Formats: sequence, structure tokens, C-alpha cells
Amino acid sequence: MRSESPTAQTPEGTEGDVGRVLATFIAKQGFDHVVVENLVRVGGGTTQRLWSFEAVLEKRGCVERQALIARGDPPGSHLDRISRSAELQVLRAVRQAGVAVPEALWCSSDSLLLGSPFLIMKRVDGETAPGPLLRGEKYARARQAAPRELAAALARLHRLDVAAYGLGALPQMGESPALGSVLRYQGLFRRDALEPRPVLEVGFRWLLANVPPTSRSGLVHGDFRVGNFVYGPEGIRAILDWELAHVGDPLEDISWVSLRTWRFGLDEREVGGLCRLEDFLEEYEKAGGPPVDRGALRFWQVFANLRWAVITIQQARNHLDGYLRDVELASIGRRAAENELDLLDLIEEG
Amino acid sequence: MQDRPTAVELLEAAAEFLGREVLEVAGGAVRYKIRVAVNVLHIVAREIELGDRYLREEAEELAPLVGEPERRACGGPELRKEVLELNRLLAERIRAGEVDSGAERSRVLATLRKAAVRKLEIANPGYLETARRRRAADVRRDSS
Repeated sequence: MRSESPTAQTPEGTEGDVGRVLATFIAKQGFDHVVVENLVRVGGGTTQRLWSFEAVLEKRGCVERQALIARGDPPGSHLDRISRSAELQVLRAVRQAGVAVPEALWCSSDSLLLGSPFLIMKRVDGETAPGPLLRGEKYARARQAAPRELAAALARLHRLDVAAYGLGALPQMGESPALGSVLRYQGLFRRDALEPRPVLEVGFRWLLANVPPTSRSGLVHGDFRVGNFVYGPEGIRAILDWELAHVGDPLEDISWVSLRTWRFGLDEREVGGLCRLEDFLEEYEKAGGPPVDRGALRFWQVFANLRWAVITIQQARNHLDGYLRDVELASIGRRAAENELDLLDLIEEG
Repeated sequence: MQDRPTAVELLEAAAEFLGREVLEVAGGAVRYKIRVAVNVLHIVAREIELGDRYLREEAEELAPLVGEPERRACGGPELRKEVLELNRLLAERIRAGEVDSGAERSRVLATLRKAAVRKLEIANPGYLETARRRRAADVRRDSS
């Protein structure tokens, strides 16, 4: 299906033909003529609004074809997302810093166009589902390379100079990111929990009583885990889903990537079912990541469990409140039991 | 009394339909969602069978921790409301710092662990199985 931009630059105010809207919008970014082809709504089990398409871009007689993705926001969410324009800035910055991410092109905050603000980036083809990477014959090489590649990506990300890249407007966790992060999530818990959760109360109290004495500050992905990157048989191609990026303690990403919830049954391999945490940390430090205070790890692992528990509460509420009626969101509300058990184990350890 | 099939049997029938006939003709993104829906039906079936018993056990364990008398509804929404209230009282005690240390803390944590295990027996019994195997492996490794 082809949709064309009008040759005169007329304002587009209504939803409807997504292709036409995209063509018009892209043309306004500095092209004489834009054609959108092969538009397909995609999205494997996620709640995002995602469109894949090709754009034929014409400017001063030169024609270029680009494979693109347009990504909108899920309906009214409780989650802690940054704006699409902030995300675009983050993507540009981390790409410059040498992290493999999709090339972000344009964004719009106008909800009238596609129903929500959106981001357009170059499409990176490949697989995102964890299964093949962890168990598929075809991906043995990627499986082997992934720990080092993921560790290197995190190392580059965490070393990035936030101020120098103009990312100071991102959500900040304060002078002590450890304390700031706990207070932020405790606040979200108080705001969004529908019913009492004594285990989570115990968890937050423990965190507040055990804030590590030192806490670094850096750019944090916020949802770095197996399932959030594109890969191929050769290895990792692009890290995705930067909407929770913020300035905080890099250990947040380290504890998140090694949360039991994303080991997909390969429990012994603490990092996403790929490798042990200690091996991952070796690669991370070898790649220039800031030194990891292993004494602070337990704090961050407890935090990661609590943060995911709060997110399950928020996602279940998105369904229950009617923002997005979705069986997946509803069932997520039952999953924090896993984290409650893990949390109790961590707190009672030693 | 409702006729056969029982509630659990009906859920099983619906789960089988989704997991076989529907999954067979479904493509793309919705296939994952079908599996989620099947899992949801299994969760509900387990909750029908275990839910009220678990609520009674939880009420029995929580009441002494929050100084409440052991008044107990028999089952259903009333029982859930009682247990909800007991949990609310416990959460208050925790927030007030009354469970930060000592024997009281051990008692409360032990009770909360039992509650978490009950949640998993309904929501994801496989997780408990994996955890048990892991603990057994750790014990074997530590003693060798």
C-alpha cells in the first residue's frame, strides 16, 4: 500500500490513514516528496504501537529508500517514561558514544497525528525474542558473544558524560542516586498499589536502612535486559527501549540485567540466562565500565526486585483502570510473587 | 449446586480450546497472548481449588501478628476482605518500624514467606519447583 505526501505542504490534523500521516510528517522534516510503502503494524506481545514501513525520500532530485520504524506510546500509562524527544536525544547521544542502537531520526509530540507522541528511527532487522538467542542452534555464536557485547554496551553507556551530551534534563535520582531511586519507587508504590503489600513494605524499609555509603551517577538505560535488543546469528545488533532512561547509579542496570525474572528458566546463568554475573562484571570492567562495588550489589538486587514488583502493580492497573485492556497486563499483576520470595531470600542472606 | 462440568472442568475445556484449536490457526503476535490466556485459566483453576483454604491459613497466621481476634469468615469475598484488612494492619506495623529487628521480625518474615509461597502455588507453581531444585543443588554443593 502506498501513501503519498501532498506536494503542497498542507497541515495534517486528523488520524486515519497512518501511511498518509507519516508521509506528510516526514516530508515536513525537509523533503520535497515522500512515499510510504509496505506499512505494517507490528508488535510481538508488547503493548507498544509500532509500525514498520519503507519511506521513499525525494530531495532536490535525489531519491533514497529507508526502512523505518514509527513507535508511539501505549495508552495512558502509569510508568515512568521520558518524552519521545528526550528519548531521541538519548539515542543520538549513546550512538555517538559508540553504543549499538537504532539511528533515531525524528519525533513528534503531536498526539493528533498518530494518537500519541511518536518516534521514527531506522529499522534494525533481526530477532528480539529471548528463546532463540538462549537455546537456538542458529544463534550459538551470538549466544557466545552476547555477554561481552552487552557488557561493553553498558560500560560505554555508564561512562557517558551526561552534561557534555546535554542530557541534564533527564529524570535525576539526586545526590545519592541510591537513596533517590528508593524514594522514587516507594512513592510510586504508595501512589499506585491498590492493596497492602507487606513484603514490599519490608523491602523498602530494608533499602532505606541499607543505602550504600557511595553511589555513582551516570546515564542508566532503565530496562536493560534480554528481550530488549535486536540480535542476529552473529551477535547483538541494537539495544532498544530507552524510554526509562534516566540519570542514576549504573548498578541499577547491572542488577536489572541479572534479575531472576529475565533468566527464562536458565537460573544458573544470572545475566539473562547467558552467563554468570561475575563473568559479566569482568567483561564490563574490562570494557572500561566504572568499578563495581560488589558490596553494594545486594542493595541493588533488592531494589531491582522491588522496582519490578512496582512495575507489575502499575501494569496491572493499566488494565484494571481501562487504559489498555490486555490479558498480558492483567496476568503480570500475579508475577511479583516471584520477586517477593527472592526479596525475602536476599534480605535474610547473611 | 451447579451441574457437571465443575467450574475447574469448564476452565480446563476453555484452556484446551485456546491452546489447541485457536493456537493452531493463530499467527504472529497473538500466539504469545493465547499462551498467556491459557496460563491465566490455569491460575484461576488453581485459585478455585486452593484459594479459600489458603486465605484461612493466612488469616490464622496474620491475626496474632496484628493483635486481632481470630474471627473468620468461611470463604469467598468476605474472607478475602478480612485477610486484606489483616494485611493492611501488618503493613502499618511494618511502616511504623515495629518489625525492624528481633524475634518479632523473624516471626513476621517467616509468615510473609509462607504467604509468598502460597501466591506462587497458585500463580506459578513451576517457580517453586525450580527454587526447590536449586536449594537442593546448593545443599549438595555446600556439603561436598
